[in-house]
Amino acid sequence: MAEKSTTSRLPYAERPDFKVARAYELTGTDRRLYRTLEILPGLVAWITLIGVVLASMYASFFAAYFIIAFSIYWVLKTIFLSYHVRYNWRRLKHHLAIDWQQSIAQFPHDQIHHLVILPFYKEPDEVLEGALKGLADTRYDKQKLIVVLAAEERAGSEAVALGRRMVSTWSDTFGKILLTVHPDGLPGEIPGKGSNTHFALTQVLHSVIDPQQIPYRDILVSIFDVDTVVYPDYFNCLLWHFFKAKNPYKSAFQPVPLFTNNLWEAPALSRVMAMSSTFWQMIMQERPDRAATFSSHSVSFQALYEIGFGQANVVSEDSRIFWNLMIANDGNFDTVSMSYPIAMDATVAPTVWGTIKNIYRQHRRWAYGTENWPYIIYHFIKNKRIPLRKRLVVGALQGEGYWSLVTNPIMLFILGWAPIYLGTQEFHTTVLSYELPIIVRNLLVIAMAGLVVSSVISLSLTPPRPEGHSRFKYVVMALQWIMVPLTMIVFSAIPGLDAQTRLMFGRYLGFWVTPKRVK
Amino acid sequence: MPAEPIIELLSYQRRKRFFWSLVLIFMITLPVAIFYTPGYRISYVGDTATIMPTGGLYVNTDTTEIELWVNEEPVRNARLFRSAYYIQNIEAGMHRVVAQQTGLQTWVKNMPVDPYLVAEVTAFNLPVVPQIRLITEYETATGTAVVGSNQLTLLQGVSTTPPYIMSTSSATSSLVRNQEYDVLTTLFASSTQGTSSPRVSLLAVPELPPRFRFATTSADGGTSTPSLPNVVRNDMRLSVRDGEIYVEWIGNLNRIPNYFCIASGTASTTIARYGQHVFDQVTALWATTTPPWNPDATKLCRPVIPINRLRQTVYAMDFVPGRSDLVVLLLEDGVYVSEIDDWSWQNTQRLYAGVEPRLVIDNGRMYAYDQGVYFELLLTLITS
Repeated sequence: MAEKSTTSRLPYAERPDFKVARAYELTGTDRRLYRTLEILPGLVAWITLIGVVLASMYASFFAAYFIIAFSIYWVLKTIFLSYHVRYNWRRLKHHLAIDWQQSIAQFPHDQIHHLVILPFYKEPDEVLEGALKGLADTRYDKQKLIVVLAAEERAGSEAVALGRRMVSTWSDTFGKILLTVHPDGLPGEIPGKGSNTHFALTQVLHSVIDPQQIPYRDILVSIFDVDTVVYPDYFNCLLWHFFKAKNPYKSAFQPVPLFTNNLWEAPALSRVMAMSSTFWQMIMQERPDRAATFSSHSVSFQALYEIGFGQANVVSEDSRIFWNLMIANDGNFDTVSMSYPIAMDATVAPTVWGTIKNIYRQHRRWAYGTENWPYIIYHFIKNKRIPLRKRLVVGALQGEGYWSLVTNPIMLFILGWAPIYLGTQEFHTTVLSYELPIIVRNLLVIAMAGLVVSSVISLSLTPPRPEGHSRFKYVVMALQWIMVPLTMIVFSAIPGLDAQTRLMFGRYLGFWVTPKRVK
Repeated sequence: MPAEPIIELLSYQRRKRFFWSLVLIFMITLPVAIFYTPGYRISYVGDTATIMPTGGLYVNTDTTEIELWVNEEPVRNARLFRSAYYIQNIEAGMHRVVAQQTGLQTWVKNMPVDPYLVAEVTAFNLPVVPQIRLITEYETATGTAVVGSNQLTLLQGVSTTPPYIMSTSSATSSLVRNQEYDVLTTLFASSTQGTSSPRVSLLAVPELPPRFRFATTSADGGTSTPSLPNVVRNDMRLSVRDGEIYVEWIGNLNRIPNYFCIASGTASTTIARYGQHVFDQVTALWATTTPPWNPDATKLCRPVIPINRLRQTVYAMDFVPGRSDLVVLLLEDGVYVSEIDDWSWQNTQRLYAGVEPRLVIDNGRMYAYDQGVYFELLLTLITS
């Protein structure tokens, strides 16, 4: 208990507004400030888009030059990001080839426990089975694994029964496996993965960790989406990065999510979106200074304890936990890239239309990560102990990220042509008006060359072809990337704008559970 | 199998270097693009390079596979859309544009090109051999036109589609009556038996028999010669005044087609760019109460353009179906199509000669009757 006694909440995490999720939870000036910050991302995005339209109509020449500059910027950005993807791909392949078990032998790690949280809702048996089997197949001492199946009371008795069955089936495999049932309607929470995880962490603290007197420093928590299937060396790789980290207790460890569990069954649209998300995370792996945690990730229990286990009242709980940690630690908290994969599900539904709707909703939920921006800026203003430079850089980078997510694809693929259609008569007769679509088209073609890289890398990350699937599907998988301009608008920009607009008007989103696999 | 990672995380320094390299490329590329897109080009005269502002030509055609020539040089890789060509890097000055294709009549126009600006023009190329679709009284059960031997004369000078067969007897029991034929006979009958205007030609030639009428023209009840009603389409009015045909822009002046307008300039430059006739029209307008409209300091627009009737009697006029830049005229020696654009000159091409054709425009199609045969006149080459 000696370790436990030294662990307490961080001072900043004790603030009453530390876990604020929405403006209405505050009062007075703070409330007005937070509400203004909620409005800003959507407002700036709309001003940008409307501004391009108005400029096209009333300042066509300026709009044309702006679009040309923006297209060049886009090409260079594509090159920049492709470079990161390609580099991370090399590193990912390399990491898959490493014998991590051997590499962690140099560190004394017998005392380390892995706490795995698997929050679930109404997912089918096979999803939980897959996740647990993945854990069981790891090259790690399973007795060091504490697995928590975190069910939701609101999912009904079937979900609880499924959890019990799984506990019974796998009880001999892991050091500990337990079921927690998150009660419905707890005050101050919104239903979803965040509140469920928060409850599970509290439960396991009182029922396992404290009773068994496991030092908090010796527990690494992996909070996984329930469809997460870990690769065999995940825990070894995690440990290696943990021991090698400059400040392991002030770090979150981020694997690369490969949405490949059902890739062969998923439609092309779903595959493109899944792989695009993977690529984005691969880029972030090489830019950890810009990264927050995403989806399944790992962090020390001590760090989580120090902030009271994150927030139970937000939609984007996976990234919010990083910002909680970073702000509470006065900016002294980082993301460590593992460049090691975990397998997850691509979004699917029984019908194409259902798949489209599910992908849209999932990406709107992800894009609702914009709710983190007011939180970050609000606490950057409040917490003066965070270095000013860090506050400015992180605030600007995050803001630019949310802005570009929703505006860039629309500006590039739709509004790029606006001066031609909306421009003045004087503009229409100019060489510039004729050259504009040609130069923009040529620049986009160059940018699309990056898709070839995407296609090659995605094929290399695709799991082996299961029986019953034609070889021709490889060709489809290679060519599916031509859908990217469309998917960027329909499944990135528009859901992002949707999310930011909701936040702007105070119509806050709730957590939407992405259906896992078709029953 | 390695036991330690060899490939390190992409270092901040390396990322920074790469980032600033791209910034440098941006800083170089952007001014080049801003220089290039309005029309600036580097011109080499001998060993001397000079920066020269250029213009462009945008040529619309109604034919997808047309050969374009500018100043006797073939134009390649200029297609922008299916039947539109954008020709870059044109020096300021007058340029002769030719659109031609085997089997089609040639269209020629001298176009003035100004720096930074694109001169827009629409070419048209009618078939050399008239293209028709026969409409016979009877068809076979499969829809093939059945032609009588008395109709062969007309067919010798035209191309037809779809294929037809010759009737070997007068028996029609195995054939199907063509409903389109019945509609056309009604249309043409009303034109010959009617008592109203179609009998009167534009220029008085009393000995000529009545030959036609237009079935679907939107007469606006204007003040032109009562024999040929005004025709209005897409903000343009085709009318007869003082024995001549005019096309008048009656829509919003801000949307007036470019060929109604000319660049402001001296008499000599106007004549050189657009022709003496255009200069005369503009000069004449200054003497009236409705001077040329000048949307800006560089442009003058005249709202009316006369149509060249080739010094022939006009029996009918209308806009070509589906086009507001072309008019169709039934003249003494055939059916002609003329462009409204009169910059340098007006291209006029014969669509059909025949013997004594009559013409009906109905439902967006041009039908003719000549030598006992009803047929539709087609503007493009029949492709099998």
